[in-house]
Amino acid sequence: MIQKKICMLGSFAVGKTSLVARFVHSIYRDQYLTTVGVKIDKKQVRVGDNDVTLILWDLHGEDEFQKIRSAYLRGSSGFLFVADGTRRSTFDKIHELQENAVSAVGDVPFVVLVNKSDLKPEWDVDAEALGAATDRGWTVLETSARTGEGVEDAFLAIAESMLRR
Amino acid sequence: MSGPDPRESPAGNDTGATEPFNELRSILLAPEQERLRQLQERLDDPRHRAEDLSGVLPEAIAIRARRDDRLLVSMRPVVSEAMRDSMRRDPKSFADALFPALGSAIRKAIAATLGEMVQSLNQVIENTFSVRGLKWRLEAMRTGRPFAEIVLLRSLVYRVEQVFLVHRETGLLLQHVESGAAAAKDADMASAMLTAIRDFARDTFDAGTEDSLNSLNIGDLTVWIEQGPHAIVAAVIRGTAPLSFKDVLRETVERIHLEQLEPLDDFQGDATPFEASRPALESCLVAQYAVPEQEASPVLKIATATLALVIVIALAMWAYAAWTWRGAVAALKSEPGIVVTEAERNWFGANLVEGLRDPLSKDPREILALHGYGSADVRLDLQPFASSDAGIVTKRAREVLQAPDAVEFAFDNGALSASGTAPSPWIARAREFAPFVAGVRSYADERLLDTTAAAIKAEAERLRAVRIPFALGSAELVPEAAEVARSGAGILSALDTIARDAGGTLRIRIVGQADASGTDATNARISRLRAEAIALAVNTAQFRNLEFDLQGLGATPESDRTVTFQVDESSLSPRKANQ
Ligand SMILES: Nc1nc2c(ncn2[C@@H]2O[C@H](COP(=O)(O)OP(=O)(O)OP(=O)(O)O)[C@@H](O)[C@H]2O)c(=O)[nH]1
Ligand SMILES: [Mg+2]
Repeated sequence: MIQKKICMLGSFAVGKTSLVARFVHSIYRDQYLTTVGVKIDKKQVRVGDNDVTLILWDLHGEDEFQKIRSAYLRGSSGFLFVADGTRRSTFDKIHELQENAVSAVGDVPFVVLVNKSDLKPEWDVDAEALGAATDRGWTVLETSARTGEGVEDAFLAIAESMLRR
Repeated sequence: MSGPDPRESPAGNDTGATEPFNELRSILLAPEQERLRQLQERLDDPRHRAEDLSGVLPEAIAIRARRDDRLLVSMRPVVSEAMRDSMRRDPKSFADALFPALGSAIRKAIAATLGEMVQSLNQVIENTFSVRGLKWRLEAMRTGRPFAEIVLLRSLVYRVEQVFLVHRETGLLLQHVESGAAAAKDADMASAMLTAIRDFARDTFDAGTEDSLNSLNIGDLTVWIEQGPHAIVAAVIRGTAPLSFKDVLRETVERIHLEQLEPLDDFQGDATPFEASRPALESCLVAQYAVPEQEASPVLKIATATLALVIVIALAMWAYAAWTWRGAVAALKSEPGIVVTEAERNWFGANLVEGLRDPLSKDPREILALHGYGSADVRLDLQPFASSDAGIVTKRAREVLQAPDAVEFAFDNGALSASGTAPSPWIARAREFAPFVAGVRSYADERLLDTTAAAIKAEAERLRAVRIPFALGSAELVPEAAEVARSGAGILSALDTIARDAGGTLRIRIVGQADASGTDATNARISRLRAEAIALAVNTAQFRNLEFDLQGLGATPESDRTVTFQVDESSLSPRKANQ
C-alpha cells in the first residue's frame, strides 16, 4: 500500500476545504469556515493497478498575515494549488505559492485548480490567463466543489502524476 | 422690463451682437441654469457630498468586496493600525472582550492541574488504611522516601494502547500496533496530524529542529514521542507510565533505525517494508496493573488488627476524657458560689481551672473528685469573692447570725427572710445583724415562731391551774397543799430553764388570798403570810433566772383561801451584763 502526502495550497476562501470535503465525504456547504492551521483527511484512490492512500493536508489560506509554514510542506509528494475563478488575484498568487513550494520541497508534481466553475459567468480568470498557464507546462483544471464537477478528476490527476515519478 | 443685469450677463459688455443671444438663452434656459447652479453648489459642498456617499456606502462596499479583494487589501493596514491604536489607548476594553475566552482556557488548565492533585491525593488516602498501605508505610520508613511517593510508585497503573511508527519528513504512517483493548481509527490520519502538531509547535515556539514536542495530553491519554533521524515512535498511554518507559521507546527507535535504515532512507510512500518493525513496536505495548490485594500474612494481619484496636481504644479514651472533663467543668460551673472563667484541658500535665470561689461554696476538689479528677490532676486558681447566689447567702447568714437549726432562711434578690422557730433573744439579735450579712439588703422574720414566748405561755398556762389551798385562818401548809406546791415548783423549774436558755429573767408573782370572813386587816396579813409560806415552800432562791413578787390580796371576790402564781409573760428581759 502506497501513501502520499498532498498539500492543498491557495489564497483564503478559494475552496480548498470544500474540495477536500467534496472529494472525501461527498458533501458541500455554502457556509464559509476558514481553516485554522491544518486539517488532515485521507482518501484511497486507484491509479492503474495501484491503490494509493492520499493524505490530504488542507492548509489555511495564505494572505499577507498568514504565510504558510514551510514545515507543513515538508515531505509532500504533490501539491494542489487552488484559485477562485471569480477572483483573479487568487489565480495570480499561484506563481508565488508554487515558487515557495519548490524552495521548500523541491520539484514535485502539482496541479492547478480553478475552482467555482459553477459561477463561470462571473469569472475573472479569462481564457488568456488560462492559456498562458498551460503554456508554462502547468496542468490547469476547472473544478466546482459545489456541483462536484471536475473534483474527482483533479485528485486523480495529481495522484497519477505523483505515481508516474 | 428693464435691461439685463450686467452681473448675470458678463457677456453683455462684449459686442452688441451677443446681447440678444444671451437674452434668449436666459429666457429659454433659466430653470435649467438654476438647477445646474444648485448641482454645482452641491458638488462643491463637502457636507453634501458626504451625505450622498453615506447613502450608498454599505452597498458599495458589498459590491466591491464581491468583485475582488482590493478593498480588503486597502483597508487591512488601516484597520490593523486603528486596532493597534485603540488597543494602545484603551487596553482594558480589549481585555474585557478577550476575557471570556481566556477565562475558560485558564479555568480548564487549573481544573486539569487540580484534577491531577486530587487523583494522587485519592490514591494516598485510599492506601493509607489498607494492609497494603501499611506495607508501603514500612517501605517509606525503611527507604526514607516520602509515603506519597511510594504510593504513587506502587499503585501506578498504565497501559500503552497504541504505538505509531511515523515517517518523520512526510508524517506518513509506517507502522502501527495496538493493544487488544484499543481500537484505533484512522491511524494514518492520526500520524499525519501528530506530525502537523509537532511542526506547528516547533514553528510557533521557535524551537530548534532538534527540540520538538515529545509529550502531549488528550483527556486521560498521554502521547509520548521519541524521535529518530528518519522516523518517530509515538506511544499512546492511558494512565501514568514510569519514566523508564521513555528508555524503552528510545531503544525501539534506535533499533528500527538500525534494522531498517535503507527503507527509511528512500521511503516513497510504500509502508510495506515496515511490517518488519512490528515486533519492535509490539514490545512497547506494555501495561502495568495495580497490585491485586494480596492475602496478608497472619503476622501482618495481627499487627494490623492490633494497630486498629490501639487506634480505636485511643480514640475512645480521648473521647471519654473529653466527655468527663466537660462534665466536671459543667458541674463546677453549676455549683453555687463558684464561677469558672477558664477551663483548660492539657494533654500533658495538669488541667487548669481559673475563676472565683465564695469560701462558703462546696469544695471544688470534692466536685472534681466525683468526676474522677484527683487533686494532682487539676490546678485550681480560684480567687475568693462573696457570691450573691441564694444558697450561698443563706449559708452565710446562718453562719454570721449563728442561727439555730430550727431557723430556715430564704433569699431572693437581696431579701432575706427567716422562718421556723427560734428563741426570742436570737430573734432580736438577728433583726439587729441580718442587714450586715453580705448580699442582704432587707430582712423579714414575720414567719419565724418565737419558741421562748411559746414555751413561757404553755408553762404559764399550767402554772395558772396550780392553786394551793389553806385552812381557815391559817398560813400553815396542809399536807395536801404541800403536794400542790411541789407541782408548782416543778413548773417554776421549767420556766427557770426557759429563762436561762433565753438568757434573761422572768417575773413571777406569788399571789395569796383570803376568804371573806374576818377583818380586812386580818385578811391582808394572812394572805401575805400564805404567799410567803409558798415562796418558802417552793424555795424561790433556787430559781436563779426568776424574779418573784409576793402579793397578799386580802379577801377577793372568789373568796378563796389559796395561793396562785402569775407569770408576767412580757417580762423576759436580757440579763444585765453586770448581773
Ligand atoms: N459557488 C461556489 N462556492 C464555493 C465553491 N467552493 C467553495 N465555495 C465557497 O467558498 C467559500 C470558501 O470555501 P472554503 O472551502 O472554506 O475555502 P478555503 O480555501 O478552505 O478557505 P480558507 O480555509 O480560509 O483558506 C465557502 O463559502 C464555500 O461555500 C464552489 O465550487 N462554488
Ligand atoms: Mg479551508
